[in-house]
Amino acid sequence: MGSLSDQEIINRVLGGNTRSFADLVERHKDKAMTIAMRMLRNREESEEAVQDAFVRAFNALGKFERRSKFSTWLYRILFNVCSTTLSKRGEPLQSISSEETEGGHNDEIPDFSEIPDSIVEGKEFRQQVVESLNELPPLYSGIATMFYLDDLSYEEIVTITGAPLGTVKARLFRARAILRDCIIRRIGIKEFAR
Amino acid sequence: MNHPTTAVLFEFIDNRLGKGPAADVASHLAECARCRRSVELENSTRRLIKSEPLIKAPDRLAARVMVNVVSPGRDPLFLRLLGKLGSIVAMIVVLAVIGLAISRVSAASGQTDDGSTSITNVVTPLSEVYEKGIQSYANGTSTIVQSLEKDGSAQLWKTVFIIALSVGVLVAADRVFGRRFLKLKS
Repeated sequence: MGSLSDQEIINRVLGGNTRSFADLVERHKDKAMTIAMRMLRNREESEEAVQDAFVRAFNALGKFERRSKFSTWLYRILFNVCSTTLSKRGEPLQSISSEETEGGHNDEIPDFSEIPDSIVEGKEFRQQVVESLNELPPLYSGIATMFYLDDLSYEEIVTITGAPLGTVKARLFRARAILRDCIIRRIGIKEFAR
Repeated sequence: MNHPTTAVLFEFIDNRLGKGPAADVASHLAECARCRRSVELENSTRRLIKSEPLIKAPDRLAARVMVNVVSPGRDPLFLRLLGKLGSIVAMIVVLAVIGLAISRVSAASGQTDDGSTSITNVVTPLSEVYEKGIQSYANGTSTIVQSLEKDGSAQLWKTVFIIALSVGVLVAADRVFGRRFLKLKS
């Protein structure tokens, strides 16, 4: 079954071989879990969200129009499930400050030339990047994870989040800028603040 | 060319700039170590996140999903009925065995001990309830048979309704407890 494409598996499932859906779950569950964990930061809730997303995907598989990849469609469902979970927690995703659309972040390129290669290529840098990703607000963390992890295009993120292209670009820019600042701050704390 | 903004640099990295602006940024990068460093940092970040091990979902996630999606409703009707019938028979057998055990214990303690032991105190009322239940069941069954023999349609429909209701209650109980059990198991 490993050699079958997502589309072929979907055809099997829709053809009555419902058990084949387990192969799709196996194939996509870890990426889905990573995205959910970045957004929810709680293992139990993330497992619930991923399971829920797959069940919803199965139930709506007949409506999947195949204009996008299965993973993109699945992430859209997962994104909505995670948004609902955050809303229940009293942390709605859309309550991000207006600065994201008003370009509130400093758009000038900081001077990174002081950062030596030994840091950028070191193990610790990896750790700083991952920890910084976990520091981002859930919306940005989710978008950045999908963008980097799966090489998603801006248009695919539009499909997933349901936001207009301009908003996606602004959010992605802001996510990357915050991430970069977090990394620099962390490196700065560790290496340059002596 | 002045330093491009961070937004332009990100679009350059993402291949979102048109040919002209992209060429301008490229020629700037050839001369500007500061902007080159910024691009390197972004590319390193992207590479690291992409190569970072994924957070593992539980091994049994697929099984848990399949329990929820491959519902009995998707099996053929006769299999669904057979499954339900099996559960109902199992419930009846379990109840019968429990009742029989209670009756036996109660009878045995009555034969060996004239005094009222604590177990007898507990078991005797249960035994009586069970016997009453059995008696009611027997009466009910004979009523059903009689109603069928009498050919009274009102009585017949009443009986059918009671049977359907009983089966419905058992099926609902089976569904609720069965699902809960499966969830606990997974």
